[in-house]
Amino acid sequence: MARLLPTPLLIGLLAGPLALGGCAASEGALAAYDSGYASGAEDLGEAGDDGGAGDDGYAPEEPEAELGRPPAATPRYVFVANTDRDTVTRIEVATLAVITAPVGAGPTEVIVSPDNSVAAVFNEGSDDLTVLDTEALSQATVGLRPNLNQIVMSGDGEWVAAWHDGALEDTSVGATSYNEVSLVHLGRLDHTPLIVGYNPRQVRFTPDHQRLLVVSDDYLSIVDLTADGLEPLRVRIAADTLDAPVAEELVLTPDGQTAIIRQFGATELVVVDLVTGEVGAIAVGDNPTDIDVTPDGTQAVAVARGSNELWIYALSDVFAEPQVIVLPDAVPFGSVLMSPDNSRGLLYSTASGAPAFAAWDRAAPIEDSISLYGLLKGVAGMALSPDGKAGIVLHQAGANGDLDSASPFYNRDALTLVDMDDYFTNPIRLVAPPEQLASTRDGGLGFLTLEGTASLLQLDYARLIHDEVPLSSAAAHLGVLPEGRTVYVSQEHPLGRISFYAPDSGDLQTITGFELNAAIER
Amino acid sequence: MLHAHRRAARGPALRACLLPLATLAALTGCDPWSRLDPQGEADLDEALWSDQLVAAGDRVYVRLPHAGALLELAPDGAVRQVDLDGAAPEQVIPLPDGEAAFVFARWPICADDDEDIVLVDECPEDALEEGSELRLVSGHRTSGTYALAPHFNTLQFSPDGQTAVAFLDPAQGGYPEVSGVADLTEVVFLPLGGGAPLAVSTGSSPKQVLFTTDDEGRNDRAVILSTSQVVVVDVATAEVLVTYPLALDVDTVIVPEQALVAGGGRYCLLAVDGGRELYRLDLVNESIDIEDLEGTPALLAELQLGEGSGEVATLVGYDDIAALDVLDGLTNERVQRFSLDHPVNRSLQEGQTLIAWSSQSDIYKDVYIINLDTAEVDEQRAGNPLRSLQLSDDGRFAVGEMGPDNYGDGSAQDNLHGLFVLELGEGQPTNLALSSAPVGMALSTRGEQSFVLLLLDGDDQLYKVDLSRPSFAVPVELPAPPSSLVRLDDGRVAIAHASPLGLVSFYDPANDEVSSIAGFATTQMLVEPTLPRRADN
Repeated sequence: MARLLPTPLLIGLLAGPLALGGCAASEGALAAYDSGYASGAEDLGEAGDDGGAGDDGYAPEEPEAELGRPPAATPRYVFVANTDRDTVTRIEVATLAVITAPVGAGPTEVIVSPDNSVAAVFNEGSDDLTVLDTEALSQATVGLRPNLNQIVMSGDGEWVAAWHDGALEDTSVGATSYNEVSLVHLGRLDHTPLIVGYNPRQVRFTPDHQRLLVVSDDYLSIVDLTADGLEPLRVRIAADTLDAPVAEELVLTPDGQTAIIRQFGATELVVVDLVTGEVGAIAVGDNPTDIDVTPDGTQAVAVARGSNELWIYALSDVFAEPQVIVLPDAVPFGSVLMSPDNSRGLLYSTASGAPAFAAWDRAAPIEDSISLYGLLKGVAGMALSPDGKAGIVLHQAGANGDLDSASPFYNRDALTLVDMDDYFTNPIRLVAPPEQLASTRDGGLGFLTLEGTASLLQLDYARLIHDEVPLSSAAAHLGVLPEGRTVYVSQEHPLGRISFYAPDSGDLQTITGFELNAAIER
Repeated sequence: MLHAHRRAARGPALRACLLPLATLAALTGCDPWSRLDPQGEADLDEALWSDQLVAAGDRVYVRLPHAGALLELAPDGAVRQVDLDGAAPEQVIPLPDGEAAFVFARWPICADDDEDIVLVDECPEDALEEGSELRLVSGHRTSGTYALAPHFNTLQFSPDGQTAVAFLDPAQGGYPEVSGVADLTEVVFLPLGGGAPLAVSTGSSPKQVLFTTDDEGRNDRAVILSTSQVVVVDVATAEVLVTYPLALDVDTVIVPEQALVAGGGRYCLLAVDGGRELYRLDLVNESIDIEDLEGTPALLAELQLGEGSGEVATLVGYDDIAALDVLDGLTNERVQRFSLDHPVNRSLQEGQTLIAWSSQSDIYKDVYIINLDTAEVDEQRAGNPLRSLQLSDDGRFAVGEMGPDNYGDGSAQDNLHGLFVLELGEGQPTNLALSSAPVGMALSTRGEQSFVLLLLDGDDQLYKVDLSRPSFAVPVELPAPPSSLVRLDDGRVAIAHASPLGLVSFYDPANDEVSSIAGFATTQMLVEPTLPRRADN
């Protein structure tokens, strides 16, 4: 699913003063869970196959796609990784001065530390990390374990973890273990290899920056970053060792002490005490396919697609009785998206192909809180503008639903803009599949790139109007500068090309050939 | 830098049925043959003189290939041999101010130091080498000598007149002459005010040298355009300051075609062969930006905006777009587009009048007169496609040579060469027909009058066309059939004639006076060539 908002996990991290206070599971709940483990898998409900259909017959929902990765930017610079040219380009926002620095082979990701002093460049081709001083561009290189393809940085900018994300294309060579994570301390420039559970699904740092968490198929690995040795505590989260349900997602309580893990095809959520390693469980209906933390960080919301239910938990006491809302059974819902003010949620499914979504009004009585709305085509992803006043629905070309073959949208990629006040929709036919989406911080405009297309689509969220900004070549990476409303979009060009678009003035400034700058000899 | 020595080749003898002639000490306008005893015959290795006159100031230089000498001829009849210390001139290039000229010169060297060897022919063939140098001559005297390898074939001059730059331009054609081991990418800076030459290797074939200007008006940096890279050099020290690559892959060859220094020396703009990009090299921030253009650039020129304002912009014309674009000198953004009927690749500017035309088409005949103040485009039409266009010294007239129109419109002029004359701001042009192709053309302004002077192929006369009354061409009788023509600084012209013993005439269009100098080519005609310098000179 597409999200403009930070991921639910990230919401947990950013949710201001956290709701601290005891949230350790009650002994009774843990004891019940322990006995469930001892007595066998049948007490835990049926488990779905890894990646296969659950009880409801549908595949897992699309994971929260990163249609708009945060730009690798400081207030002063934007960093762009040039994968094909083994370089990173730093663009000074004020002057558009460009400096390109050689890094390792095949850089795919750049992350800037929160204090803007360091940029970590993941070089997938050479299996290492380039640590750049964002001002001086001096650099150091730290080797990583081979065949990794994803990185994440801790919130304090001290650590970077790299792992192999099975959702991405596997280009591994040689003998490969899918149980590995590389952990790098950016200050000491040292690397610690870790063995975690098979097939890491999600890797994140706790909000207090004290732990690294790795959710794998059937393990949660916890690394205490404050301890010597950095040994992972591997906590089994699947009792059934032969046919374990696959863990897909993890959310944290606001104090960062407890993790809630969703498994596909299960009937319970696994609750892990990150301090003691104790494992418990809470009921979640049938086949939970999505779980998010509300923007205020006080609740976790899970969608049980198999039983068509919404389960709401208080993160201050996850073992307390949850609130359960029965959803209309006309359409299967598998994903949930919360509005920034927590007043509404959007429910939809990317797996069923149903051309519909539901709006959840949290202020309304439960029996009247869910309203169903139809769409032109099935949903491939959904997002909200930063102020929550507009929704963006992405549709796949082939998800035609009941669409007449004579429709101009039949077998065409499309998106729908939704006015969140009255849920009025404006479907827009696209010329190619959407790739990246970014929005201005004021929530007024969104920008979309399309696969292989030399244009930028500007979305006016208030008026539901779209405009096309032509580019010189196909767009590659998109982002909005930290301040103001200027958009940067790198494009395909053998010598490097990036454009800066100011929507208020309509000015488009393009720099081409910046890769040559790395080869200038002085 | 070492003198460049190479083994000299003894070329085939030019056998001519000539009478043996004594060296002429005095040259007059009379026929020298009449004073000689007609006996025997002699073989000449090369021509007695070259009719490719080189004008410098108010005089001309004439090469005598056979004698290996250089003569200075003046309109007053004076003939002086330029002292080259025994070296033979290969090429003469005048300085822009006309006060001096550079001479590429060579001389034979015998590696055998036997003092009995005096003549070139006495030196064993395997010991015969060749030295090369560059001489700066003022009048008939040498004011400077620079040791220069034989492969250099091009000189460019800095606008401030302080520096000459020598390099090998492959576009000049032929094979470079290499003496021993040579760096053919070397560029040599020659300080004209004195000082040793400084050489810098640019790493690839240099094509053009541009200059930046400091606040004191001196050309402080040279921007050397080479294949796939641009090198910026400190003129005073020949230190390489910055090297800008034009491609990332060494297998990619990028050839700069059009280039200029813009933005007050801030940028170097260049268009590349066959490309639709405009490279903008930031000479201050040392960065590169490439801008995609709508078409293939065929014209890149600096445009002066606003009379006396000092504001400049960049003019871009295209091979495939019928338009002229004006780019802001600093931001490179297009500020204006002049839509035309066909593409143009040449331009001239006179004040706030821009003249644009195409010189590479057999079809296009339009000449566009653009008022830069009002942006009005006045379209004029030449009778036939233009091959060249230039402005008179007073800027009042645009004069061009027209070729035959291969796709004619049935006019009487289609198959004829022609002359295009346009008085700027005064309406229609005058298209004149010529009986044959011009072999020499010069514009001349004498006093208040402007003329175009023409030599036509196979025609023994010079034609003077008063540009204020172009339809009335005046033929001027010449002492012999002309072969070439050059213009002197004062508006007179020097004309070379097809005369084996040398004949040059000077013509003043103001009063139609013609004066001639003849017989000068017999200088040292029968003198056995001696070794001018020893091997250690």
